[in-house]
Amino acid sequence: MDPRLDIVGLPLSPSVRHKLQCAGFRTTAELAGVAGPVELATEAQLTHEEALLVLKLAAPHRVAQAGQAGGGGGPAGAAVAAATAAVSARQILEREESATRIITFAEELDAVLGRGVETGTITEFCGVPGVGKTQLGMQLALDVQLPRAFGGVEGQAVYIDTEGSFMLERLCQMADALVAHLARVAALKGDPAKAAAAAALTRDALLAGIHYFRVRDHIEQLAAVELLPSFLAANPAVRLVVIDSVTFHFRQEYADMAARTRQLAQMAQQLMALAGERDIAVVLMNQVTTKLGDRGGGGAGGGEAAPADVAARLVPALGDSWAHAATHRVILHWHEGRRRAFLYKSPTQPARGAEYAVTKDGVRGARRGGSKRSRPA
Amino acid sequence: MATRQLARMGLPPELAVRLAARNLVTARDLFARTLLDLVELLDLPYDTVKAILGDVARRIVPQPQSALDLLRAAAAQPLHLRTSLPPLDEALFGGLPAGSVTEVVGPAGLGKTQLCLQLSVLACLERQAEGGSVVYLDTEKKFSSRRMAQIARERFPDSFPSEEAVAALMGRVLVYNPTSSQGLLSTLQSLEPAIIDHRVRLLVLDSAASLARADFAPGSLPDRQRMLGQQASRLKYLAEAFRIPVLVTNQVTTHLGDGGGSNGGGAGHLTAALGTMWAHAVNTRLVLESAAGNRFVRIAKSPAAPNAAFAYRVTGAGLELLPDVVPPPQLLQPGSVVHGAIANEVPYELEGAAAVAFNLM
Repeated sequence: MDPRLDIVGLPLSPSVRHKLQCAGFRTTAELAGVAGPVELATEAQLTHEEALLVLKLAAPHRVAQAGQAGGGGGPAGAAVAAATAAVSARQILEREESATRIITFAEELDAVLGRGVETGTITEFCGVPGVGKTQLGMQLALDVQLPRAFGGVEGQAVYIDTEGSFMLERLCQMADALVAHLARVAALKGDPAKAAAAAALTRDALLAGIHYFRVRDHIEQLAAVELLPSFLAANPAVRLVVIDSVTFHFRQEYADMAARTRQLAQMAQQLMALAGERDIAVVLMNQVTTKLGDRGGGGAGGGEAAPADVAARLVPALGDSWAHAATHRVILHWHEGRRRAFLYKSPTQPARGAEYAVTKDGVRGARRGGSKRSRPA
Repeated sequence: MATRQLARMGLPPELAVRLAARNLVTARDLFARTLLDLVELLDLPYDTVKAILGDVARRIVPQPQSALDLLRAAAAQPLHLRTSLPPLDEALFGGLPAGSVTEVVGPAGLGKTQLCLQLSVLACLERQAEGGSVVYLDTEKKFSSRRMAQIARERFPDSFPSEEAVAALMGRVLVYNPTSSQGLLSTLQSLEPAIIDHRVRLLVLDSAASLARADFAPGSLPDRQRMLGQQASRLKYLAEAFRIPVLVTNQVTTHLGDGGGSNGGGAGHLTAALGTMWAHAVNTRLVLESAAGNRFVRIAKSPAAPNAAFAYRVTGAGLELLPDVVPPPQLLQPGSVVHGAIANEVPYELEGAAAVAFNLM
């Protein structure tokens, strides 16, 4: 990788870029040699503000360059390097190990995910209609509020509903089940801290902890994501953002597929940054689409009967570049009449599957058929 | 709203002029571009553009509400249209959910249109005091006013004691007959005034499939999917904006091949038409099917309800449930041939070849 990035690659306004080029600047390495913003402003005939902005934008590249050149770079380079201190792999390991998780209440699914949905990352659930994506989204919006006494995150949730599937009565039913469950566990353990926490958590409190956005087109969806940072700053208790589904509005209205890909990539980038900065879990629901002819001769255009294993070719929607957006990708599907989740992509967990069930109480483990045993706190 | 004019957002005048000069007129124009495109186009620094986007986003984004607020608001305005089939209503928390799209899918002759007529009568009846009415989009010329009058008379003899009462009911059902997919979309796009004027409490589309299946040749699936997507989007928008239930019917198609894996069954089971994308778009899916000599209405997809099926028959009064008939177990077992075909939505119509081009990048 050449650290001497062309200044054309910086997100500068054309007029500023033009002035820089007229002054003879071609790469960020050349900017690194400048003593400071005032000098740059004089040299390139920029305002002080513009010059400072240019140096800030060039800074990451200057750091990289400084590192390669053995601590060289201009005097400004060292200051910037200090400001953007690196994180050691050991710190990252510690952070990963202490990462909080939001349990799903389906034990086997939690095990597959590594104790639940991880905060600080994006987790995507893809699945056929009716397999329980919305149910899982609503369940997680409740689970994130589990009190610390029960080993929970004790946060709040943002629920961005693009499809209108968010069903209040069902949420109430699930909230009631959760409250009853916690009361039962507290009574069983005879733990006063748990009992107090359980008593404090009512259905209304759970409902009040879910911030609901109903977005009606993809522009509103993009606007909502754009605003999330300020919304989360105002509501620091939020530890989970659910978008159900990320797909719906992006499957219509787009004639220009290249534009769609750019928009999606930008949205994924924003969500990724948000998840990391505020240590929240971002959960995206994705739809599936049918893909034919992976091996059949060049895309099966004819109107003949589908091949025998059509079901195997249902693939997550939004395409291949979107597949990079999520840190963890989980496929929800039917297998011999039961719901299964398969961890398809994860940097930390092995790929494997687990059964889960959707019961009257919500999303639960499959083995005990709606058992309400929770994980020990 | 995406079409909100930037000029009316109270941005600094200098900036408003700059946006207008670059032909950025609505919020959509702004958000349809990436940040870097905008930096380029507006000739403004990155941070400034970011701030403008935030400013505009704040004005167009829907206000968040807590689920508790929603619940309190729901107490004031009922969230469901009852179907007058009590066990079904119970499973659906009270009936067809307002603000979302419910689909009835099934083979010809099982009673889809009957159910539409019945629910139209109910919607008028429930909101009689406020003069609520129904928009009925009939694409197959199957709407029968005589049948509707009969259902009203026989099902609710108390509410419709006289012919005048029935005539008043009929006056409140607005029937449209779009004859093409484009015509249907245009109708959906121009319905707002009618919905407000006539206090429409239910929107029926019978059926979603017929025009799409007739208008698009097998080779034009991307166009068809885009059209269906726009229609679905519009239906959802109307449902949400006016907090009304939307009821659509869908046809079935024969799925050749063996449906994959354990079913063994083989040749020709039925599956809902219009493919996976459409199946994702509907919020609740009710399947009408016949099994073991009876007809059943089954909840195949719902954010609210578990899998359940109820036997029914069609009488002069519309659909009536048969509480004594127990659904055969294979009907309720998810993943069975019957269930798997429709709930799991393995689409037959070779959506794929085109869907690859359209849905995948």
